[in-house]
Amino acid sequence: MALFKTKPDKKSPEDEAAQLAADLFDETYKEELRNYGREYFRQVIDKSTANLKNDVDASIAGISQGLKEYMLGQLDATVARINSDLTRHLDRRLAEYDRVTREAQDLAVQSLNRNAHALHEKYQQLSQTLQQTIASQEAMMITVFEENRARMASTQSAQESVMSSLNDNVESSRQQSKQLKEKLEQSVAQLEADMRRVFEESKARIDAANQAQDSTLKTLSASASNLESQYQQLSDTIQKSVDQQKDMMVGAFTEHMARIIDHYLLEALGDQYDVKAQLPGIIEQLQQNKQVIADDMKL
Amino acid sequence: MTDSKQKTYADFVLPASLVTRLDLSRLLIDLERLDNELTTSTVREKVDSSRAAQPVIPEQLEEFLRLNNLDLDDTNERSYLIRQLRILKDKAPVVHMTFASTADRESLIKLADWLRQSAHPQTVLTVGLQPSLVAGVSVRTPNRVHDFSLRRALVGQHDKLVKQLEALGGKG
Repeated sequence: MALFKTKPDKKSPEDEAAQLAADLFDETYKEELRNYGREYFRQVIDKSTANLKNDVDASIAGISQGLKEYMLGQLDATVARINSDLTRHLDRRLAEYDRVTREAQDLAVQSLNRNAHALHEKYQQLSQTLQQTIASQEAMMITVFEENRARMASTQSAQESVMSSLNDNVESSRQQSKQLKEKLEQSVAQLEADMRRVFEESKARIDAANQAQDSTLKTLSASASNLESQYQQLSDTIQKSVDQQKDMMVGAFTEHMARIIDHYLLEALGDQYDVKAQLPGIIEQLQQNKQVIADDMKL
Repeated sequence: MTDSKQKTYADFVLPASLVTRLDLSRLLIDLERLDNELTTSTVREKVDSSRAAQPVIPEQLEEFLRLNNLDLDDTNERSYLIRQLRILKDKAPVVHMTFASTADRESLIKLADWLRQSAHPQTVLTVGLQPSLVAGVSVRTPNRVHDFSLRRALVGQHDKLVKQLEALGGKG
């Protein structure tokens, strides 16, 4: 009987290998592999995010520093150029004002000199006229006196008879002398009045010249203050324009950088998720909008 | 058929495996084909007096008939059922869902089940693929579009990202 005993069932090596593989790769081991895979992808995403943040920080710092240096250089050059232009313009205007003032002063001095010279000449002429008049009067008086003395010498005998006439002559001479003196005093007074009038006229002209000079100086001062205010306004306007341009450039750069980051994230995360992994999140979002969806489908 | 005369298209319960509008069309085609086969078989039986082979009913159609307590013995009732299914195919609310990657059948079944429980019991899906969504889904109901994608979330956070970049850039 032992010879015909049935042999126990023996599995082939292939079946054993398949059974071993099935035992090894059970659901627990597969879940561990999935967890390991998820952890690995999470680490990759974290590293990518950190590297991206570092790169973006470095780029922003470098670009911001370069932009600041460039803008400061441009601003300094612009302000220096404007200062140079304004200084040159002011110097030119001030030189022109100096020249005009000097010419006005020269003209005023020449006019004063001419008036003084004319006054001096008139004074000389009047002095000569007065001397000539006095000399002629003296000569006339000497002549009359000599004639009277000749008459006295010739008519000494008839002195008594002509005494009265002599006295009359003396009296007439005295009256003539008095008249001459009065005429002389009148001439001197007239001369003094003329000289005073000429002096007053010259003084009025000098005052007018001084007033013109004062008004010219005031105009120059007002022009200088206007120029200074215009320079200040121009400087403020340029500063505002530079600030606006800087803000616009920084804004555009930030906007572009945000788009680059968006694009990078979309590219980096595009293939990381399947629908099954997202299903809880999708259902949660649908749940949040459940009422809106239901209302729309009932319409 | 037991209740087909009383039931209209609005009373039909869709099986869970019937997810998309294409599935509904396929169900209708199967029913029409089956109707033809059964009619032909009936005629042959009358002519040959021999019993024809029983036609094969697809699993989805069988589940539909079972859920709605229907059978296909009477040709008039089959015609009525076909007409109702045609109406259902035209009037069933359709939700278009666009995914970033190909959606598996199991996920679609869960989504259709949620919509049938929450919105309308006869909802069917049409599925689209748009990799630029990155993740999430864009849902289009008859009158609205709900974008639950990661791209939309990133666009929504765009202003915040700009502010952070300005802060990093020292603009403040």
